[in-house]
Amino acid sequence: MLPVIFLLIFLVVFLLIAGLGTLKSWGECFSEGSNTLVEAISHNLPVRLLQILPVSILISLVALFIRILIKPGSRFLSFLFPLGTAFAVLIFGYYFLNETLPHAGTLPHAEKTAVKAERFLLPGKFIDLGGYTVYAESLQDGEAANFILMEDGKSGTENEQKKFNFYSRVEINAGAQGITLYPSNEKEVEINVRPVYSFIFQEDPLLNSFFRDIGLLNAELARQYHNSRTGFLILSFSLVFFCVASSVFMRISKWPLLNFMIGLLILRGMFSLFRLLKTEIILELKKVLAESSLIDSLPAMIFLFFGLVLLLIDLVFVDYNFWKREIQGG
Amino acid sequence: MGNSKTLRLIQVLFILYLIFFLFCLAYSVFTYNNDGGSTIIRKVAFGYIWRKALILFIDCLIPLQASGVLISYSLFFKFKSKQGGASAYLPFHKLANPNLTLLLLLTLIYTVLLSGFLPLFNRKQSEAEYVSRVAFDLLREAEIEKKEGTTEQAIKLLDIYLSIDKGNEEIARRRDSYSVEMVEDNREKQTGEAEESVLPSRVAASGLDASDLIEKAREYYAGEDYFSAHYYAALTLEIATARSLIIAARKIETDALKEISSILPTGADKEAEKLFLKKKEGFLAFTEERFFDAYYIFKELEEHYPRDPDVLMYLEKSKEKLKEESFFTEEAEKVVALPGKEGILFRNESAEGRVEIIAIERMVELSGDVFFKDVEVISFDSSGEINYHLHAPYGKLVNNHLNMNAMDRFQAGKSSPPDYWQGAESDLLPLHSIKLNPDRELLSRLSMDSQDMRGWDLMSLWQAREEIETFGLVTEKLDITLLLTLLKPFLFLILSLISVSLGWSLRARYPARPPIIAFLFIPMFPPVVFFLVMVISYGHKLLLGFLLLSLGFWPALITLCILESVLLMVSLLTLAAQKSE
Repeated sequence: MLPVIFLLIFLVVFLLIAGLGTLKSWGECFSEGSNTLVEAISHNLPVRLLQILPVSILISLVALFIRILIKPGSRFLSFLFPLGTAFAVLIFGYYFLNETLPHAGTLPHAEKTAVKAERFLLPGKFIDLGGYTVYAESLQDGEAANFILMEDGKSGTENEQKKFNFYSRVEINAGAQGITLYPSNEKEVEINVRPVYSFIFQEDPLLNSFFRDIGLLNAELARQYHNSRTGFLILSFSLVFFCVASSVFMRISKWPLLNFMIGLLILRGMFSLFRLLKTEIILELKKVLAESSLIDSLPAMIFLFFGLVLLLIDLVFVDYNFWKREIQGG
Repeated sequence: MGNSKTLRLIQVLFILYLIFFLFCLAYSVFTYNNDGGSTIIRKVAFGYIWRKALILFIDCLIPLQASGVLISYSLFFKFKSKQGGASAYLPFHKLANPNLTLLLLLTLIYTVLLSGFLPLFNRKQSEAEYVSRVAFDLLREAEIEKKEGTTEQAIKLLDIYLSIDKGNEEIARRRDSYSVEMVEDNREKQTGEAEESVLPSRVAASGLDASDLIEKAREYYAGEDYFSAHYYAALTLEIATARSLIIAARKIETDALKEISSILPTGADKEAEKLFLKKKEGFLAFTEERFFDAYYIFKELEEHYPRDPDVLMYLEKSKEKLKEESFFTEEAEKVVALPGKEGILFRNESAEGRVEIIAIERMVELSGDVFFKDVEVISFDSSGEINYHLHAPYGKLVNNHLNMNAMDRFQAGKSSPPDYWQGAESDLLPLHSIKLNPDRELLSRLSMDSQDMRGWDLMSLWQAREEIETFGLVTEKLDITLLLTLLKPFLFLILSLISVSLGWSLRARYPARPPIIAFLFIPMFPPVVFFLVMVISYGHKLLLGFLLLSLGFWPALITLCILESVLLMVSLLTLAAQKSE
């Protein structure tokens, strides 16, 4: 039953995160109009699904641990089934999304569909473009009329510089990362900017660090998938193995809530550890050691090592029937 | 029994709240000087630190409350000795029911803190940051002035500084030493220079005395020219000192006003009737001291009736009155150093259909007057032609007009008009002023600064959301802030109830008192819960954002209410489903 339960949990978690992710990408291109909207969503969806696959699997595993804790079966099978199922879902899911769905191999910012200026500007409205505030009286076919560009923080008094720069016509070239303004007879202005409604879908800075860590893990998985399938398999396995082995924390004390909190911390810490290894330790190691594939697989090795240590602790020190004995008094 | 359980929850929550508040306070003490990009002056620092701690505390109340309830129900509500000595759990309903009222009460308190106190604290923080910034700028400028030898200007700047940071002895001493230096310097120089000139009386300049004016008023009244009679009676009142003249002038003024108001057009001559009614409207605006309105009415009349003496006279008089509406630069300088609204930016449409984009660096209200600092305006028409582009260091709101005609208090007749980069004064008749479409209250809300929105209470957000759209601001910014603010009390209650269920079902099973090590793990709870609350809030934000953009504000609000009601019901069901054993 465990694989089925895992798949059910995974499906719910995956669909929930995918749904919320779709709302986000929908909102970011909302101002462009409905046709572009459908295009953007269908274009981005496979990429988003690929990005949420690993994190959905890891969250589902933590949820499954609660079920195993309450109704423990065979110790061996309760370890093997979640490990095998999660690993299989990860690698086959990755393969399926990469090979069968179009555009999945590209990252969302590498959008190929044409981006309209309306994604970043709204006619008759002041738009904060991060460093600049702009106003366009009208906007049509990539051309704005009566356009005002304001550089933030610049006051009219400073060096006699005007805050408002007025252009009766401005051609706007929009891309996935921002816009380039081409005012007539003047130098172009390039502005890196997020979509106009991104402020609605903007995550909290603390949550942002979590998403950044997930992004880093996704990037590494994608890199390994395209460069070395063996590396990809080892990294995927090590992540799932570490996560399953950390289920020992669900039985570590007689306070289940504390155990659950530790489980969540481990899950969050896993992404942070990966970032630390990838962005700090590996870079330092590369300075002193020659370029080698062994250094690249260091995160996978470390996760495998920690996983083995946790498994050993589990086997030697922690009672498997903890819930039944301690909680239910069996 | 119930009271003791409620007391226990209160104890746990109180201890957790207190520890966290002390942490917030310590954090504020060590970091307050890094805020707002400048140092906070001593005078406002104490309040600033407390408010910063309180803001942080209120911002984190949801996870803190959920953590407190989780810890209470999982660690502190547990065994009760049976008569036989063996341990057993209390029935769950006996643990949960008495506390539901407490949770509701806490939700109510949280709502008041969130919608009333938090915006107030945020406003006060922005004000303290601004005041500190201005104060330090003044000190810097004063030092520069002193180095350049303009001690008088330096003293003036230090005076303004001291009006902000009252009681700063160090600066007061510095000001006094500058004053002594200046007096000594002046003694050496030639004394007895001409005193500052006084603005001559406009009436006196006309060469007529009070008795001449009252005579003229009488003549016009007798000739049934009540507009002129009123005008001369008003002039008499400006300069008359004799009691008899004042009484006579007042009588003519009142009678003339009464006559003007009582005259009803006969309807015989449509054109004359139209002129009379318009003149009357302008005259009433003038007598009610709405000089901008009067000016526009008579200006319009002048175009159609360029020879009408009443129109010409009152147009001229309105212009003169508007000149008097000018404000003093010194007054504005002092006022704009006080706390107010920053970064006002909006689109204003003129009566002629021209678009004006107005940026105001700062808006300050003091004793009913509204002053502006650093005003930049650009006006263009639909063809893309710029009508004018100007910058004014100061402005004042007069009859809902942005008046930028600043005068020097010490030099009569000397004005500081705006700097016209394009266009000229003639584009902004009368007297460098622009009619503003937003009223005074709305004006202070037309800011692009999202941080500023933290200072808005629920009512302000609600009132402004429909109005600001016409002024070029993105309404969705307000809408989502409003929806997320409304969401928070729901989250507070729902997560509290879910925490009761979760805490109870995952309660500690220690046979005796929990070991010390378990208590050491308690500080780990709030950060983990904080993270979970952030994820839940973000999920809500995505859903509400989607509904807001696709369906609009009202459907999003209704969905929010339905969704939260369902979640509340689910949380109550999870409570009901808890077992005692």
